[in-house]
Amino acid sequence: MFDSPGTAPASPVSRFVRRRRWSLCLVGAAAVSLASGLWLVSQRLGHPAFLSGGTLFACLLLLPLIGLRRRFPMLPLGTMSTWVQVHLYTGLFALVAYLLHVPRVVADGIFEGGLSWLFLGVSASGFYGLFVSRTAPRRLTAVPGNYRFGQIGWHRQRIAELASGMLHDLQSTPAAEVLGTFYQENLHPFFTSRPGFAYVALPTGTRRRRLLAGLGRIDRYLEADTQQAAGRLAALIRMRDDLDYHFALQLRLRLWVVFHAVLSLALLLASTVHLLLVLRFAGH
Amino acid sequence: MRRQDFAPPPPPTIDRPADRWICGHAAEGNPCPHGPAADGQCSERGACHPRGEAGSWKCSRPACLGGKCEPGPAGDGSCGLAPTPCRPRRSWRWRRRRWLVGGAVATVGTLLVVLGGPWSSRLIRPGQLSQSHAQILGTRLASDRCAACHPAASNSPLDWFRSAGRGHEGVTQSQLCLDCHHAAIPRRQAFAAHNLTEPQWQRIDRRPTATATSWRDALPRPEFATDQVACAACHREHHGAAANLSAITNAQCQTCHQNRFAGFADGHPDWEDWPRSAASRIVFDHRTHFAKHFADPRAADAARFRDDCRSCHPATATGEPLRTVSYAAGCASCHQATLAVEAQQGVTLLAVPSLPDPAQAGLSSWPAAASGFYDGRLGPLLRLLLRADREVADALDQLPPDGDLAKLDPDDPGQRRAAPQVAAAVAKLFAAISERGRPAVIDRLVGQGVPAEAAQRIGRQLSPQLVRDARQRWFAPQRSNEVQRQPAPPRPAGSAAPGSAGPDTLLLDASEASSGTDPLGPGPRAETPRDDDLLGTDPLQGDPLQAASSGDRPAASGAGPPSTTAGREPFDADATMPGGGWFQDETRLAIHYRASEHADPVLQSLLEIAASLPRHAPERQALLSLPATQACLQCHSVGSSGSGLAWTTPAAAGLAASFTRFSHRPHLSLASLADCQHCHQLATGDPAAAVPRALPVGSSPASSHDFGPHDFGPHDFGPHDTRPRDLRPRDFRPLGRATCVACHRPGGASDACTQCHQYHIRPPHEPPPQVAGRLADPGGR
Repeated sequence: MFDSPGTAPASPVSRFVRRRRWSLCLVGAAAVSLASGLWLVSQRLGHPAFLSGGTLFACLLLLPLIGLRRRFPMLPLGTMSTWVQVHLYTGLFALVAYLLHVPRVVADGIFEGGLSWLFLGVSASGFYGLFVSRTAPRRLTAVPGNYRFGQIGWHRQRIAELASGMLHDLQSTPAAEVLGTFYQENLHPFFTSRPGFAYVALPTGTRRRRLLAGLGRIDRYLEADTQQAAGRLAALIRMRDDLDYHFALQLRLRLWVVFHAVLSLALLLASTVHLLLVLRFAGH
Repeated sequence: MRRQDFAPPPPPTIDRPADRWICGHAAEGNPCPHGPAADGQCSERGACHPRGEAGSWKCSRPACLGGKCEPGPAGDGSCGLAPTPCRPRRSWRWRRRRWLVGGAVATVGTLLVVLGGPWSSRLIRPGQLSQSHAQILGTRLASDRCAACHPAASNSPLDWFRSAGRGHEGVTQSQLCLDCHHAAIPRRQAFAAHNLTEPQWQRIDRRPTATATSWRDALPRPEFATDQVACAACHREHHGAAANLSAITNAQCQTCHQNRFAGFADGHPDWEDWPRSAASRIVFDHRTHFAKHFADPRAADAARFRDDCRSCHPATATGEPLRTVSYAAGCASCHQATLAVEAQQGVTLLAVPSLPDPAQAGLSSWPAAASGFYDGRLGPLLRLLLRADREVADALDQLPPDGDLAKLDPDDPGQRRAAPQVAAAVAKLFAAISERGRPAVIDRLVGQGVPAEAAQRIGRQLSPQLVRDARQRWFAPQRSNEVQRQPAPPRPAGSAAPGSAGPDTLLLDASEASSGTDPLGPGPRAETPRDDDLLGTDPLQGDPLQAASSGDRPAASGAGPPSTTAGREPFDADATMPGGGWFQDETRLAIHYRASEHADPVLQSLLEIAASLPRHAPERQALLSLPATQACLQCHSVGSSGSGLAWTTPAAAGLAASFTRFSHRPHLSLASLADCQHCHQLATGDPAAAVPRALPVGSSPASSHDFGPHDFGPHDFGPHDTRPRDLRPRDFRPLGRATCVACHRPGGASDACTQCHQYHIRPPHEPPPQVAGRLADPGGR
């Protein structure tokens, strides 16, 4: 789309940059047009809120259509990538239209104030979604393993079975007892339970480092076979931690989609009521 | 050890993320291959789903779940392993859908609660009302507050989907505004631009003034017609208690105007006739007063008036200067003496005309003193009263226009017939007043269109007993002691004769002044026919009342032969009625009123009566030409209300409900502007003072005598402007825009349109407009 004929194809990065520039320019032009129209209406002693509100409502109707596109892929509605771009920049323009509609950011009145907070919530979640959808894949790619969200529980169970099977293979020696004790006290809860809310909300390497450090502390009490087992346990700890990291980021993405969708639906319904109220009460 | 050293089994490939339910063992890592049923129940069918091949059953458990099971399928095709029931869980997809549906239901429920409850008006209110509206509506029920301004608020939400609500069908929001504001803004004009009707606009020159065009002229016009300006076009509510409902930008003000400009200092049209001295209803020439009268060192308080404008224009409690002070405070010191002299001439209510032969004319009991020849003047008030009778009115028209019978042509048969007819009417009027009293006068005046208040004021001062007494004496049957026209009493030196213009000291020498005789006194009159002793004596001679009333008067000296009606002393109104009033003029056989001072009620009524008469009525001009009324018209003029004379002037200057408003108070607080003459400079010798001022359309110019300082509407003296001009020179030089721009500019004092201009205009009168100084002409007669 952005390549000139007869030239070497542009790199994806430059295409991306050019697409962003064009899109931002388009949004800017639309915003300027809207602002000019509002100024013109106000100078004519009209009600610019009708124009800005109508534009905003039209954006709110357009934005959820990306969900329809996702649910009906068989229809010739264009690529999902294009729809995502339309969704993003329409959302950006909607924010501009909102600020022109409500210069004070939060409207007066209880109902309209709540509507303002809904819109701001949706906008904030949209910006967060834009951020997390750009950063989470990169972070997930940096972590070893490819785990589907629905199979994470299955992988968790396998890792726990591998860890417990490792100890059963050891002979009953003092070193094995040490390792066994450490497993029972520290590793068994780790392998058999789901990650906590704190880790899911903010996954860090603290838990992983703590467990690995514990294994390192008991290493001098172990013998060759138990040390080998401890090494395997350390690998399983890393695997489990990576699995939990995948779980945390993927859950975050999924929860964000739910949150954004629920708020958007509430915003659409409340905006419709607001529109009906305006049409009914705005007299002459 | 590294992770790749581990070889965990591959994950199961039987997960169905689109399914509503997933096996409860999936989280444990051992989901069954069948999966839960659609209703969320566990199928309990074992760990595998045997596959039939060539008459035998084979286990089909996938390798990811452990591969072929040890017992193998049973003979009936069921799994050999014991089923392990699970508790199925909803898939992520369907959990997300539940959240969406739940969120939608919660939203709809919340909206229904918000809209359906009694608190809905408070919840859906889009912001606080302005303070004034909030205070007024705060006393109403919550359910009624919205309906005060919004027609739809009186209906239920179910009516939203109908064509019109039952509560306020056809009622607009602007009409609801007028339910409270109709007192200030007439309903029929509320939606017109500036609240002016088309006829009112016709009086205002709307041709574009000569200003340079700018790009702003190309901007679109307003989105509504100029006769459909809704209140909400400019006034937007629900922006908080401190919001200014009248806030509007300059550009918005100009959106309806043809010529637009950047600001007051940049492009605003110039004017040439502001401030107008027109609003005052007192004819006062500042130029002559300052140049001549106040400069006269002999004039009382001249220095005070000359040096301090506030001596005549004091400030009120609000800081606005009054347009004028009271007569007593500002004018009496110079004008009272002259006014008193002129007002003393008063007006005659009744006067007995003299006829050559009343008996032959059929008038019995006619005063002998009024017989022998045509004489006597029928004053305008008397003529007005007589015109109540149609036949008498025709007779009056036959007589000389000024009612002076001395000018009657004896050879004119019409006048000869009319004179006794009128005389009889006078006698009849005497009788009517004697019998009915004041109503006889009031009814005759009101019947001819005179305002009732003016007629009643005339009658309020009159004592019917005075008229009755005069009638009894003057129209008594002819006897030897018949009434004689009493000689005028000797006047003290320096006193004025009744009806004269003032003390005539020039004709008195020292001896006469000391003796108190009047060279025009009774001596020479003794030779007149009216002093004929043969006509009898005074029938009231010896009347104790008459003797008592004349006890204080100086004795008549040289007054001629005493009346045969002994005891009837001549009445000296000058000496005995310094405050004015009605009295019997024995000399002229008349009931006369003597005014005395400013704001005399009878003179006021006379002028109001004259103002109510048609323009062509002879009595109108006669009433206006009386010396007493002329004294009033020297300063008073017609109000612009068109209803006649306006005796008072609007109190404060500059605060009329017109296009432009001006407040002196903030300007006077500046030291540089504290001197009134900084802005109001006398136009003495100024060529600009000769610039005529236009008058309202429909008025016709006359001499400056008819004009007062009134004005209405802006002015434009273009070549096609056919409006009449007020040709009198100005008192003050017009105040140019440059003077105002010195302060009212960006960065300085406010230069907003609304700083000086108003939108809601209330013309001071309804059509037809009245010219300043002229008397009203109702109905265009």
